[in-house]
Amino acid sequence: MKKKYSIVYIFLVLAVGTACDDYLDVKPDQSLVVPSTMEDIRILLDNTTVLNKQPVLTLHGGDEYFVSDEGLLTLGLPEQGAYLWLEDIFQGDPAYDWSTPYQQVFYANVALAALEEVPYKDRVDYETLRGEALFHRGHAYYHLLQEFAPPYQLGGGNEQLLGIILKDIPDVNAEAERSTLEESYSRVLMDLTEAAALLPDFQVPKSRPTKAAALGMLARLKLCMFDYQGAADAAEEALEIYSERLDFNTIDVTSNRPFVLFGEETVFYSELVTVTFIFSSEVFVDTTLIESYQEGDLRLQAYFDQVGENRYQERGRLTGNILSFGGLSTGELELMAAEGLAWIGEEEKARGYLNSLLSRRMEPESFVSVDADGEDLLNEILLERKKELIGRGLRWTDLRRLNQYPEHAKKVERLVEGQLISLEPNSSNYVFPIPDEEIVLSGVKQNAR
Amino acid sequence: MRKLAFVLIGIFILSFQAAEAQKITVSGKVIEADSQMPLAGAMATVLPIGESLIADGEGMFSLALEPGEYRFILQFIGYASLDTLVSVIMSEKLIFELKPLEMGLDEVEVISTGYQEIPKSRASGSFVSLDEELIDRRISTNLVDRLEDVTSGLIFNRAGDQVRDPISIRGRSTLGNFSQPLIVIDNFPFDGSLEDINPNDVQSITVLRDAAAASIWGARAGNGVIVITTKTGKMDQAMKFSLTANTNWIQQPDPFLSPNLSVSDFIAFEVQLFETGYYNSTFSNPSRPAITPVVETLYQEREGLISGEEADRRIAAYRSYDLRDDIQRYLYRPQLNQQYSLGLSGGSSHHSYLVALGYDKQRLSEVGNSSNRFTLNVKNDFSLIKDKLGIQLGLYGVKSRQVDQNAGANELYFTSNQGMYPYARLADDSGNPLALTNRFSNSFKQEAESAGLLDWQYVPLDEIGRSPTEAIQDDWRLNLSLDYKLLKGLEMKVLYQYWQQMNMDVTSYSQDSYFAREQINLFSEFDENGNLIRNIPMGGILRRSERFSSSHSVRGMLDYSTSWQESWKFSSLAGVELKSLNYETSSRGLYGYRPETASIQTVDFLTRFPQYHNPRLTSQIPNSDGIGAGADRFYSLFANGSLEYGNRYLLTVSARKDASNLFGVDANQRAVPLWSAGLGWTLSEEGFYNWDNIPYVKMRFSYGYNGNVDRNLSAYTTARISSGAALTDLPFATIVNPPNRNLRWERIKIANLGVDVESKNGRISGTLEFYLKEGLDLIGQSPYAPSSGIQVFNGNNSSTSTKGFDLQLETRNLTGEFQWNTVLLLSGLKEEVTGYEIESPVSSLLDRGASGAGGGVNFPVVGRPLFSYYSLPWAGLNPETGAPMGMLNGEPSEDYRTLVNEASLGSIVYHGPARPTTFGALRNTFSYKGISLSANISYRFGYYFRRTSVQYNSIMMGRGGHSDYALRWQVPGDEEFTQIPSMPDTRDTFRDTFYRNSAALIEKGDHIRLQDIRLGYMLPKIQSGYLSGVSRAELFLYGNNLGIIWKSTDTDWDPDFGWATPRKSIALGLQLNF
Repeated sequence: MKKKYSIVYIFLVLAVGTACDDYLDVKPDQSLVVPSTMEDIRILLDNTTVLNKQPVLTLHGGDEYFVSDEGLLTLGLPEQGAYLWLEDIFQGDPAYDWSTPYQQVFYANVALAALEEVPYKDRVDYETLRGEALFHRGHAYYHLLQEFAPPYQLGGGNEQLLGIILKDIPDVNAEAERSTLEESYSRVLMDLTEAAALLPDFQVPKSRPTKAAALGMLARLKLCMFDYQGAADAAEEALEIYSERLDFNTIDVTSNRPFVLFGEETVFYSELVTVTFIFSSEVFVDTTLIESYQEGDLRLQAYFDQVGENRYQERGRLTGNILSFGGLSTGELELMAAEGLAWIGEEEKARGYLNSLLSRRMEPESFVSVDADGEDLLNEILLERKKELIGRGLRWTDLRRLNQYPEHAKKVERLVEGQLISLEPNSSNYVFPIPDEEIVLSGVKQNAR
Repeated sequence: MRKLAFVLIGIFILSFQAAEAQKITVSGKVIEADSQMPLAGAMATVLPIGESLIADGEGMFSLALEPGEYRFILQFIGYASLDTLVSVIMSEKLIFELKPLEMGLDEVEVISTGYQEIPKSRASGSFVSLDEELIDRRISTNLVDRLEDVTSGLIFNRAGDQVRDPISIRGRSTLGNFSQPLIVIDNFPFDGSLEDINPNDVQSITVLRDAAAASIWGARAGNGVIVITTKTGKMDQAMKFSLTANTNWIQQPDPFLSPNLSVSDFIAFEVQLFETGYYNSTFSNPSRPAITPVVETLYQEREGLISGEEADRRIAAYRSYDLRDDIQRYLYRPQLNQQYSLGLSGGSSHHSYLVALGYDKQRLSEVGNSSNRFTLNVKNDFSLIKDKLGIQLGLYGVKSRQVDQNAGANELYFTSNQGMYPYARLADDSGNPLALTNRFSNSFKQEAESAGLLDWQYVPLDEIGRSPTEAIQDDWRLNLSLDYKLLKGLEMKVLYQYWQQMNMDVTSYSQDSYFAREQINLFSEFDENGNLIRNIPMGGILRRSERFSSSHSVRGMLDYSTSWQESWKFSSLAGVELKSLNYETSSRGLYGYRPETASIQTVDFLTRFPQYHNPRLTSQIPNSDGIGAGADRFYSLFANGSLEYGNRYLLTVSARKDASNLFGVDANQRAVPLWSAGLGWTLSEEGFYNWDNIPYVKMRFSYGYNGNVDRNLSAYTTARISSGAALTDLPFATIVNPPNRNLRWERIKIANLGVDVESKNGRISGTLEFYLKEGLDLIGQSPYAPSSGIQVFNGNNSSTSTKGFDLQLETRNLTGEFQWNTVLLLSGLKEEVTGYEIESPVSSLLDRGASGAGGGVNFPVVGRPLFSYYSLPWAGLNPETGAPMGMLNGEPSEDYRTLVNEASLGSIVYHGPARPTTFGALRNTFSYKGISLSANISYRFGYYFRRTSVQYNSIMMGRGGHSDYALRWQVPGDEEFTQIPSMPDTRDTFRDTFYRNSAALIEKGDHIRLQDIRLGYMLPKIQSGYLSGVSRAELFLYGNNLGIIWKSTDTDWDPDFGWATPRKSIALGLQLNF
């Protein structure tokens, strides 16, 4: 329609000879927008390629896998660096584990700023979108803290330690400075708490965060902060809202893809940054971990393929494909609730969550209720965390946290080219260096390694 | 130049004098009026018989005429024509006196700025004009190529993002993506592709180089303007035909130029790697990746499937093959371009017309590929109401079609990160196509086939023709202009142009094609009952993308000129211009395509299907459906004026304000005012000037601003919406532009000082100009800290400066029967980035300082040219080990990691610019009778280039590498004659990086090239028969890219093209006018 008249219009404008703002208001490219309406912000927060991702190198650094010597050489430099606990992990290569979460923070800040500018807005939509943006920001900060800042200290002194760079506004020129660890954790706490208050109970698809997802992230965060009561409360509330459960007895655990995308088990979808490690045929699951699965544990079949003697590789992942899942699952929520409760002595309830989970993971004939208590119960729960949550990038955080208890501390060791290398509990190598790019361009302080 | 052609015709006509009985011999002498010296080479045309004659060395000519009255027209370059009536009664000697032109330069030269045609005398700015003869001198399908080495100050870039930035006029005054000159065709900026303009349709080209020349184009003129005018008919002219035909033979691409590791070395590495167990993970990889034949052979030997002798026999055979032999033999051929054009023009006193048809046919060098182009140019000009009203109608159309059936050597790949193994054979000894191993292992492919999947063999020669890509383009331009003389000196003009272009690219992968077979196979799976399910249906795959663009441009202007008191002349012009361009794009990917029934099948784009080679991998069926639309709007006000006094003093001013629909920019930032002013002083017109040998001297000075605009930027956060996110299938937005409140248009300040001189008789004429360009508020793309959420940021944070000169000198060294003319172009410039806020990372400077990272990301350093070569200091090879050595704290070092990582701007070597700082061409033209020979020698100095050399990492991973491997240091003492490092014991990327970026590989690029030679032969005029109507017939031979005459480097490397030296070509052509 418009085209038909454009020529007439041109002559008209020419004849009148006025500068014509409408004429110049046409978009140079129809697919461009300045995010300014609720709809624009909605689709901005639906950018799953940017927002539903999280750092991956925690997989390499942890104790869940080993890589053959030949396989190691085929990995990217930062992957090798993380696996070998090198001082300079990134070796000059791009550090996606650092830039990806900050890109998410930027998107979240753009959305938050734009939301305030929208003149007429539906309250529910506003709350949902604000909640999502805050969730994504908190989610991103949380993952940055797990790699680039020291673990939250059980013994205190978190005000003296360096945390991460916090960004409140979508201004790319804003000065970058590292906050203290305490400030960083409380910011994540603030973002996630507000998100949990604003977000709706359910959303479709599961790439959009919900109240249960925000509570789940809060539980993760509070575990890190040794707030076991808080972690248990958040996880329990999340489990109440999100009531679906997946019983592995109801799926074909032998199939190539036992899980489907956005399945019942998934509370919130997020995947780890794609790296060679995930696809490599030379990366194997830790043998001790494999051995810890009991007879009749369906996870052994659903999660793994045996490719040789003592050689297991991951198969079933909640992403429904080969990519590693890093989002929130009901299994994780139950284990967080159980662990939190166990730490604070509510053992009955803790056992309840653990048994409920196990009954959905074991063949009925092999399932025996756990009736351990005290330290045994806690150890049982911690072992189940390893077994249930392999390949999610969570183990690294657990190692950092549990190493602060001498009785739970673990020295990670691996054999590389015939040499035994190790990562001592509470080693400074549990904190990744800030990538050179960042140090050079914004001048923030480097971590001591 | 054009007259030279007439001169040549004349010579032949002379030799065809027919002596008939009643005729009497008339002889003439042409002399200069003042000195009474004979004018050798002057041309006499005798009407109505239409004979043209050339005066000999004594200024004499003679011919036989029947008694009667004749009109004699005498012409000579640099002299006013003489047109006189003579009654011939008896044999006599006539004397013709020609007067030198007062202002020789002005007689022929009228400059088109795209807005108006102004005589050169009224120009204060910097223009370069190319006439038809110069444009036609070179043979090419592409118009732009014809500017090369004949346009002063214009250079074709061979370094520094040259794909996006192929041409620079007086350097580069912008840092980003928008570095190309504005192209104007027939008064309006051109939106189509220049490849579509048939060079045979072009009358003239003017290049506008400074602010005074280009400021009329305002915000788009910052990179210079190239104004192209197509041919039109002439009033009062009898109907004329012209015919041009030529065939250009271009050398076949030579795959052996690529410096590759030898086949036997390649195989030696494979054998060695196999022995260390390097391929074990490949053998066990569940994705079943491809294994090269040598590794496969070794594997079979190890597994006991074949004997050791058999393995040795096979490997010995592989050693004797070279893929490049087969590429040369089966994939390539010499390119053949044919060009034809036919024109018809003429005019009466109130009307003129021109119709020209062009046809270009190219047989491309890849076997099976071809392209053709039809062009149509129709012009009708009317002069009505006592010449008060002028109407010009023009139609220009192009239809072109390219068919690619053969992707050439580029498509030959082994896996996604490795090229084809060098001992691959495309055909056996009797020429039967052979299958190559690629992507997946042969055993896997065979298993798949026996399980019922489609044949998975990759036979490159069979692929030719199986997936033809057809690119079709239709381009139409309709011009209408009206001018009306309202009052004396006041003229109103309205110009309108409608342009539309349709592009369509269709690739039809037939079911036989490897691509379609592989797609179908990858998306095949077996259900529980063992039934084969094909998620991509059988049939071909059709991909089709279309783009439709159209624009309306309209300009209205008033032209006023007057003069008073004889000495004062004033002329001015003011107007408004609007342009609206819209485009729409769409693309489709269709599956199960059966051309015979024109049917397709729908597929499921949403489900993630398992991939056949590794069912744990899932993937959606590739979906290439898409749609897009957009628009450009421009609105401009412009005015200029000139005031002249006594033919001596000239003042020009020009101003323009532009606005466009830059997205997300506040209305007040859309518009930018730009202006210029110029002064001219014709010194030779002054009373006190009395140097007779240099009768013409003019000085010019101009100053002003042009603009440049990056239309991708916006002041607000801008996001691009895409449909169908992979995970959710929902629309999603990606932020493409972070907010920038201070975004402004780039401005380029130019000062230009020029001198034009011409000697007596026009023997020497020349122009020398000095200029200073400053790029201000330039948009620089700078790396940002990742914590900001972006990688790079664009802002008006930079500035550049360019100082330079352009000299154009033309001499007529010999006149007379044997003529020798020389044109010298010499340009020099010094470019420098004067402001840039971010320090470019040293690693980027070393790796890509000379080229940029693409997409407008360059690495400026204040005080240096934008594109420069930097390197790590080189301390030679270690005489013991042959290891390369760098310098660390003044000491030779082999700590490559530190050498690479700790390099700083202070420690690295700055060599110099990557683009020439002194360049030009020397063109000599000799002519004798009908034969003319012209050779163009181009030269480029004052810049550097980097050679490639061996990188051991790739070689030691069995992926091949550089032929320098054979020349490496091997035993102590080798360092005397080689600088190529020894092979390290283990792979060391830092060692490779150090050597790649070291000073050892940087050399001076200075060279002189014999660019081309043109040999023309003007056929003698045929006096009778049906060919007697031919007024001009020229046969010519043209050779291009003839070779380097001298270069600074001792290596084989071509400083401009590396190992991919430009292909030589020879053209044979014919030009006829009748």
